[in-house]
Amino acid sequence: MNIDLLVVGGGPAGLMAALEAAEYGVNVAIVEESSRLGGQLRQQTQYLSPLPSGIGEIRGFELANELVEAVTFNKHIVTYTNHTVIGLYEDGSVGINNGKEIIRCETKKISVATGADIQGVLFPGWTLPGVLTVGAAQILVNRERVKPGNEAFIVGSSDFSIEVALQLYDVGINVLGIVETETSLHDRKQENLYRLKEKNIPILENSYIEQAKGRGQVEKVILNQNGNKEEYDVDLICVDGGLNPVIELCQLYNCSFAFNEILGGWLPTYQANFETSTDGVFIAGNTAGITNQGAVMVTGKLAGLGAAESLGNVPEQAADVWRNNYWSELAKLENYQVNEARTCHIQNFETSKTKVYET
Amino acid sequence: MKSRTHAEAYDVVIIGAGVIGNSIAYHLSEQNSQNILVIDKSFPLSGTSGSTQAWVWVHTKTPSSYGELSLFSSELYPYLERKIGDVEYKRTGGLAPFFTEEEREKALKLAESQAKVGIDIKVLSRDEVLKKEPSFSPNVVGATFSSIDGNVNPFRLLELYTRAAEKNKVDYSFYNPVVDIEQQGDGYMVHSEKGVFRTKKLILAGGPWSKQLGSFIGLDIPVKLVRGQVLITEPLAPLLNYTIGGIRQANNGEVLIGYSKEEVGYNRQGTLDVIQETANMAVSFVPALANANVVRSFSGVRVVPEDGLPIFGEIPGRKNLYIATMHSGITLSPVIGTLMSELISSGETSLPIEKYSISRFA
Ligand SMILES: Cc1cc2nc3c(=O)[nH]c(=O)nc-3n(C[C@H](O)[C@H](O)[C@H](O)COP(=O)(O)OP(=O)(O)OC[C@H]3O[C@@H](n4cnc5c(N)ncnc54)[C@H](O)[C@@H]3O)c2cc1C
Ligand SMILES: Cc1cc2nc3c(=O)[nH]c(=O)nc-3n(C[C@H](O)[C@H](O)[C@H](O)COP(=O)(O)OP(=O)(O)OC[C@H]3O[C@@H](n4cnc5c(N)ncnc54)[C@H](O)[C@@H]3O)c2cc1C
Repeated sequence: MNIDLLVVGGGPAGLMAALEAAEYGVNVAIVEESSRLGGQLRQQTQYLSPLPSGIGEIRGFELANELVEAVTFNKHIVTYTNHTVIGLYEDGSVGINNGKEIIRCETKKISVATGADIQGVLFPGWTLPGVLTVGAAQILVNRERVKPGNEAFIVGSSDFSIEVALQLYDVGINVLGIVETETSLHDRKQENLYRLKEKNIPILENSYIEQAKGRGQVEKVILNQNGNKEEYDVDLICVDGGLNPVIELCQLYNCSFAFNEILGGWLPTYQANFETSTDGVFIAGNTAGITNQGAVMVTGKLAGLGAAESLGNVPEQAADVWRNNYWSELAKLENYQVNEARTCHIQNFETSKTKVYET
Repeated sequence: MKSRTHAEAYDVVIIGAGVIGNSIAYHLSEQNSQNILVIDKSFPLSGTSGSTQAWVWVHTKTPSSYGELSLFSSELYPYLERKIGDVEYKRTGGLAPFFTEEEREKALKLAESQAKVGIDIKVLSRDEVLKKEPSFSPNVVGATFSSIDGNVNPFRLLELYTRAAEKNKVDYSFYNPVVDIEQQGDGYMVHSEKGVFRTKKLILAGGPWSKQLGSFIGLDIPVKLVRGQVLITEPLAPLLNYTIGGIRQANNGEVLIGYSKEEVGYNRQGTLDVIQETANMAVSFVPALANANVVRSFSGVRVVPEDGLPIFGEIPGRKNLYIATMHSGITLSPVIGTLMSELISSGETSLPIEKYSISRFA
């Protein structure tokens, strides 16, 4: 394998990065470890909003299908599913595992779009079968058509877990409530809150799970609400401990890292063109900071543009014009705090680069 | 908060909170007579002690005087555990396999020379090896075996050293790089990012950064850096009974595999070339590993004195300045901590240590 740009991860960010670079004639390979392109959009049945201008009302998996189609019919892009990037060789070439052998790939640039991991929430009994992340529950219900339980609590009240609560309700799971340690909620999508009310799913503030009990699987939950304990019969607990960028590949590339709580914890430092401290290594999507799907797509464009520019396929001036456009779009799409944190993260790039102590 | 303007004073400052610096701090603190500070630019497992295979390995260590030092150290482990708590030290016995007949000759000589210092080694035939370790490749020709070898959990070891030292009132300053050292009379001024510390005695225990620490005070520390890459499998059913040169199975079933020795400076990147080579080698030793999934790899940087033997003791011509830097620091930490604390507090040691002085390189 010998290409200009290797995109790791076939989620919305990776697909957009590939499409953007291909616009400028860059030869791209997308490597995706699962059996299908589309990433975590594949099981998102909700209508997405906000989205970049020009994209109409669309559900997550429908958007995934459209992007996959565009990539498939693009003559500059080849795709490899069931292929996982597992490491680097001494000479910098990339090792890709297809389950049978390890393929050596030489590429001029790389764009890491490996997405995010969902963190668990710990309580006594959290290892019992029946405790899942909200993401896993969403995959089971929407993609695999498996109903993971009948009586559920959701733990954590992000927009994402609220959406999953609604989707579980829609397939006939009785959601007893969304458990939230905070005493007041802000910044949630109003429409989702309204739909929760409609379906009689309460958000239980100032509460947490004391314990999950059961023989071989979850049967009962002890809930602590405002200091009062009560026991419920449930067989499903979906937890959302927040999303963290998947950054292992950037560690292999020796990128420098910074901790940014709002962007999801540890992540590579990067510049306005989404290039990290390691030459030729770009990042995109949730790897570059946790944000919404629309913004994820724009970060993909930025990384694709950056790679095309550094390959000499776009003149600097033109690239700057497009980059400014994409950045304004990003600022419109993503949550204000996230955008602020991202800008700050990028401003710190130079300082964090000089601060690396070990040489 | 440490004050930046006037120096805080200590009896002993130790630079480096790896297994060596921490063992010295703990053993010294047992006497409860000195004010001790340990400074680290990062946290205790950030250096080599957090990226090690952690064999407590004795029987192939040569010359035999070095074997003997390793023997003493592993004899101290059970006693150390009684004092600081469970560090998961296990004396499993150790096997060092060989694959050619010529190596049997060497093995017999090793057994003979190590016997003189009390290290008991058996030279096993192929059948004896396969009886002890049935999953081993039948291509093995033989092995040396000693019951003294074992392993330890380096994370627990370091944590319990630190806790025991803290209990004995040792001060720690983490995330605080030392940027310069200045001799002042018989003592030293240690300049760090968080302030200046004055100390009567100073110990350099900077592991792979020893050269840099030496350069602060005009000393050349003759060590080289040797990277090792280690693979870790998914937890497997019990497969290996003994600690083997290069491979062992941890309590939780994971198998740790590592052979590589690469001189690439302080570089902790992993490379697929070496990872694949290491995996192939492991499969040639233990064929059943061909079916195991490797779930992680890490690499660490060994600090290896130029003649391979530990460097520790007072630095000649530099009163009250001490150094301790070595490979196999996990094996050696109990004995190094013991000897260094004797030396620092009384000027004498219960074993002769001259041959480990840095002066041998002069
Ligand atoms: C289970 C799950 C459900 C989610 N549901 C929602 C939701 O309902 N609403 C919401 O707003 N957000 C959700 N998210 C957040 C999600 O991360 C974003 O919606 C969006 O998909 C991020 O796009 P991305 O391209 O950055 O990453 P992803 O869509 O995660 O794409 C990354 C891709 O990279 C591949 N990959 C990773 N490592 C390698 C490798 N080494 N080699 C090859 N391929 C690799 C993965 O298989 C994956 O397909 C969910 C996340 C998860 C994990
Ligand atoms: C792959 C591998 C396998 C190994 N296997 C074994 C084995 O099986 N058995 C065995 O006994 N040994 C083994 N070793 C060796 C053993 O791990 C080391 O000898 C031991 O960890 C060294 O400890 P240390 O305290 O000297 O160094 P470190 O643990 O590196 O500690 C040095 C500390 O000094 C600090 N420091 C340095 N410079 C400064 C500064 N300027 N200011 C402040 N702080 C500073 C660092 O932050 C660091 O924490 C192995 C090593 C490797 C890499």
